[in-house]
Amino acid sequence: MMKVFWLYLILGLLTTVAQTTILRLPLFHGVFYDLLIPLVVFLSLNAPNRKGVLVIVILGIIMDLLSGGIFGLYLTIYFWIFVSVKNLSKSFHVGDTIFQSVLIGACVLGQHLVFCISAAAPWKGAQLLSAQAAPVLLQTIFAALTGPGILMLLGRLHTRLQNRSSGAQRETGNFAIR
Amino acid sequence: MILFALINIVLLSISAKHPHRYTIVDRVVMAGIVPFQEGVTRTMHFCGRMWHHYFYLVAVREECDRLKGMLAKAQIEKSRYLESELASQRLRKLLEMKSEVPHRMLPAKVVGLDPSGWFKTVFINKGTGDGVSRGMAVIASGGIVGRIIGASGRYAKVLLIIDRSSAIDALVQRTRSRGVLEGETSESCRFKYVVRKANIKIEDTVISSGLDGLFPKGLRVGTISEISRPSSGLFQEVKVRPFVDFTILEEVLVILE
Repeated sequence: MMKVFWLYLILGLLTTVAQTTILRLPLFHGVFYDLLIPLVVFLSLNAPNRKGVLVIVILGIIMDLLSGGIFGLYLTIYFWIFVSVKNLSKSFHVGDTIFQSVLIGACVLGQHLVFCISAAAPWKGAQLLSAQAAPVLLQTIFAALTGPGILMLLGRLHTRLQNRSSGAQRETGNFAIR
Repeated sequence: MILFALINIVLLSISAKHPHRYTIVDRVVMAGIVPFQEGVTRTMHFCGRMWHHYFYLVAVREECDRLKGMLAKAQIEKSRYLESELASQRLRKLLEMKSEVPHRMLPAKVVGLDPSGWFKTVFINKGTGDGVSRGMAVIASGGIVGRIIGASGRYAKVLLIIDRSSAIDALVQRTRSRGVLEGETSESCRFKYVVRKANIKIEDTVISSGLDGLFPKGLRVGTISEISRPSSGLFQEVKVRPFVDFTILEEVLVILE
C-alpha cells in the first residue's frame, strides 16, 4: 500500500509541475482546470482515509505555496472535496460515468467560486466572476468531459498496482504488511 | 605439333576464302545458343532496369531521406538562431534598461507560473542565495513587473502588478497627477485615487512615484487606456494598460538596492 501512496504523491507532484509550467502556456490558456481535482476525487473514493488525507494535505500545501492566493485555499478545497466525495459515495452510486462527470465539473466550479471569493471583496466578486466567466465555464465543461476518463485511468493504474503488490506479498508469504 | 599448326593454318586459309558462309551447323548452333543468350541478355537488361528503376530509386529515397534530415536539422538550427536572436534582442533591451536605472540589478529567468488563473504570480530562478529578498522590485525591458513576495535559496516568488493584491504608488508622467495602481485583470490595472481635476489623457504614460518605498521613482508602468469621470465623487476612474506583456514574460531584472 505504501507503493500506491508514493505513486499518487509522485503523480500529484508531476501534475503540479505540469500545471505551473506546460499547462500555463498561452497555447492552453484557460482550457486546463486543476488536474489534481480528479486525483483528489479518486483518492477519496479508493484510498484509505489516513493515506488519502496525507496525500491531499501534502499536495494542497505545495499548491498553496506555489499559488499567489491566500495560504490554505487549495488545502481547504482539496480537503472538503475529499470529505464531500467520501460522504456522497455512501449515498450514491459513484461508479456511474454521468455522476462522476457532474461531480468533477461541480468540484472545478466550486474551486473557481472559492478563488473568486478569496480574490475579490464580496461586492466585487460578481464583477470578477463575470470577467472570468468564459474560462470558468470552459474549464468546468472540459472537466466534466475529461474527468471520468482520468478517473478510469487512475482506477486501472490502482488495480494493476494492487494486483502486483498483492502478488508479491503472496510470493513472499508476508501478508502482515498489508 | 608442327603438323597441327600447319593443318590449322590451312583450314584458316580455306575459311578465309569463304567468309560469312552460313551453314546448317551455324543454324543449329544459333538455334540452340541464341535463345539462351537472349534469356541471359534479357535478364541482364531486367537486372539493369531493376537496378536503375528500383535500387537506384531506393538510393534516391535514401538520398531524399538524408536531405529531409538535413533540412529538418537546418530548420532546427534556423529556429535556434532565431530564438538566440530574439533572446539577444530581449537581453539587449534588458541591458539598456539596466544602464538606464541607477541601481544594482540581477537578471533572472521566469521558471514557473501560478497554478490558478485567479492569482498572478511567477517564479524566478534567483533567490536569497543570490541576494534576493522579500519586497525587492522586479522589472523587465518594458517596465515594472512586480515585487518579490517570497524567496528560498535559489528561487523567488514575484507578485505581478496585475494581481488584485498588488498596489503601486504611481503618477502620470506628463501632469504628475498621483494615484495608486492596483491590479485588475491580466491586461489592465486600475489607477485609483486620481482626483477629478487632474488633467490626464488616454495614452499618457504612468510611472512609479517612488513614494511606496518599493519601486524606484520613474520606472515605466503603463499607459492610460480608459478614463471615466463619474457624475459624483472625488476621483476619476482610470484604467492603465501595462507596458509589460505578462503572457510572454521570460527574463526579468531584480533591483537589489
